[in-house]
Amino acid sequence: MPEQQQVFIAGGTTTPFDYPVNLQIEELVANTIRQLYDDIPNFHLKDVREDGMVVYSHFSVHFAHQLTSYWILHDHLGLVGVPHFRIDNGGNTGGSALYAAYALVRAGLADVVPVIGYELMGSVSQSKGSEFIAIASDTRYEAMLGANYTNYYAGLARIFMEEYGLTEEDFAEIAVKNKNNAIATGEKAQHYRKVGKKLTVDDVMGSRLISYPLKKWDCCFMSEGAATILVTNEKYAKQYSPDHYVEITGAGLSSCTIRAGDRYAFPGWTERYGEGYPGLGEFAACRHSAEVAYKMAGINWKDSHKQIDVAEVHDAFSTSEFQIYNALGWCESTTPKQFIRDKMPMMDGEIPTNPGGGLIGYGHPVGATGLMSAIECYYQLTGLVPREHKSTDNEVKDAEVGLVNSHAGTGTSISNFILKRV
Amino acid sequence: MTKLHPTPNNNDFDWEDWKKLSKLIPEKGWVWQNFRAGSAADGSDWVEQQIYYDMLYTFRLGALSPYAKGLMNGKLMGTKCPKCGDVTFPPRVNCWNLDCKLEITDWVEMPMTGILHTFTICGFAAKSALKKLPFVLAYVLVGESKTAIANILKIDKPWHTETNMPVVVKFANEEDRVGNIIDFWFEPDPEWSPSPMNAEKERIEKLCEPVYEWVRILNR
Ligand SMILES: [Zn+2]
Repeated sequence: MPEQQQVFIAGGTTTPFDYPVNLQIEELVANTIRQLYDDIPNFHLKDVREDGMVVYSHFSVHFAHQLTSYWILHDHLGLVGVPHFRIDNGGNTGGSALYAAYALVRAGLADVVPVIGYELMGSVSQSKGSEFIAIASDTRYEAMLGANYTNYYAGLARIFMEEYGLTEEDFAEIAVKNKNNAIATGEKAQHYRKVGKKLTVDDVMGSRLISYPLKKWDCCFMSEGAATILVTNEKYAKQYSPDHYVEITGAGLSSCTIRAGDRYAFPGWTERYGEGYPGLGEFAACRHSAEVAYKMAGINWKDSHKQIDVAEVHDAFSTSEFQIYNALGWCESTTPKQFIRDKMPMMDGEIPTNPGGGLIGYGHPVGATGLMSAIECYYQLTGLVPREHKSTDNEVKDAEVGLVNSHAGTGTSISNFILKRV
Repeated sequence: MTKLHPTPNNNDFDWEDWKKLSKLIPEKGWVWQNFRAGSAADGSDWVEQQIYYDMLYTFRLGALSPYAKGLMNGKLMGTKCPKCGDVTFPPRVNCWNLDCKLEITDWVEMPMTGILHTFTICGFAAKSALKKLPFVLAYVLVGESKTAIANILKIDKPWHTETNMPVVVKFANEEDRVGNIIDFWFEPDPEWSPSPMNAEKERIEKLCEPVYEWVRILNR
């Protein structure tokens, strides 16, 4: 019988995230594996053939009009015979794929699991692309209105703003932080590739209205790219990256309603957290999955921000990053307003968040996104930032404990992981 | 016997009529369109091929049919659990309380009034809705519903939208209704008047100016 084992991350890399790109999925993914061969001389796909499985992380089949596109990849990588499956869980596809790999290694069913995420979205016009993403909403009630996810998120942000007395500028600070962190991340980050310069709060405030309170620079942009991360047991972690591996000490996954309006008084939440929670302003699935991950990792909810040194979270919008701070318990000992005004998530704050740039700065090719967040967090905890970013401007020195967050729908599926330097 | 949603016999439906309706929009499937090729500055080749693919969906509403029929008749049909009494709109045809063990809910007619819980002013949206910009997307608690429903709030000056404002339901003309959420929208309760302009309202008004201008150009 397989025995439970500890789970580690032994390596990872992404392609540059951009839009559109002139690439096929197999070359994108092959590039990530070849990069890993370069970074980790002891790594070999033959180990996966002998002791592993592959989890593919891919969101939408609509963009390629191709079902099971990971079959093309698996075949291309020469892995015929190796067990494989694909995870799709909306924007939390990457986090959920990581969770699946974690579960496989934890259970002892596999010792080395590459999680391979990818998304090509440039095959259709941008507006058609947004429409394809919006069909992850309940199309019977929502998509026909002509609204898309940005509009739904903006509605959730507006009540959050009112409840905590926040301003557009508070959100703009987050957008600017992530855009500017991405400049230090360099050529893999979409903001570096497309814009290449730092932005200011005034730039955000002056950009065009997308959906109040969101303006153009508060939002991530459509992106394409791939990411591969190696989830392993202790033996392979030591064999591959003796000086650069982290342990996944906590993993949580939770879910919420598909239509945001249905969580106003959902019995499952009111029984757990009391009347009035989450309403429409809070991400209950984020809170719940964080509580699970924190408990596993021995982190206290109320002072979690003091026990985490660095975080990579799912900032599809500046507003949702703020809602995530609150759902992660970081504002428990202060207020959301004070949390941002004390610059806690900034590079020199108490809990630097999205130093890699996040979705707003690095990009959001859906299936690859959550993996990118995990990989950036892994770099921070293993001292690989100077090698990977060729800069130390967004390095969190001596970080020991990191948080990775991946987020879907209007908060419909959310995962949180705690990574610890070994 | 546990009550289940009925599975009617296929023979009970008039499928022929649907086939005739579908023929009005003939499907073509994969249709070759265009290609172009070239080389990038770094010497790498590129080729683009455009293929058109169309599809016509027929969605069958099953247990949700009373909701759609209600819309056609100018009524909002929600559901109520006979066990716990929870009312929801949009409807849920089985109760959401785990203790009710998926009890099949009863249909109830909802009042045509609600309270706006939260909102956004859209300056950009899906292609089909661009010419309506800027419009308000509102989450509204209709009647005693324990869930909020998202729909458009039609209001002269979008920046006057306020949380907790009372709204009323308005339906499209009978001949225009299709049994879908687009059959109705919200408007401010005629008794309601907005609070005076404030900093946020002024800011939103300013953000909307270029949107109005852009839509004017779009409509030309
Ligand atoms: Zn019930």
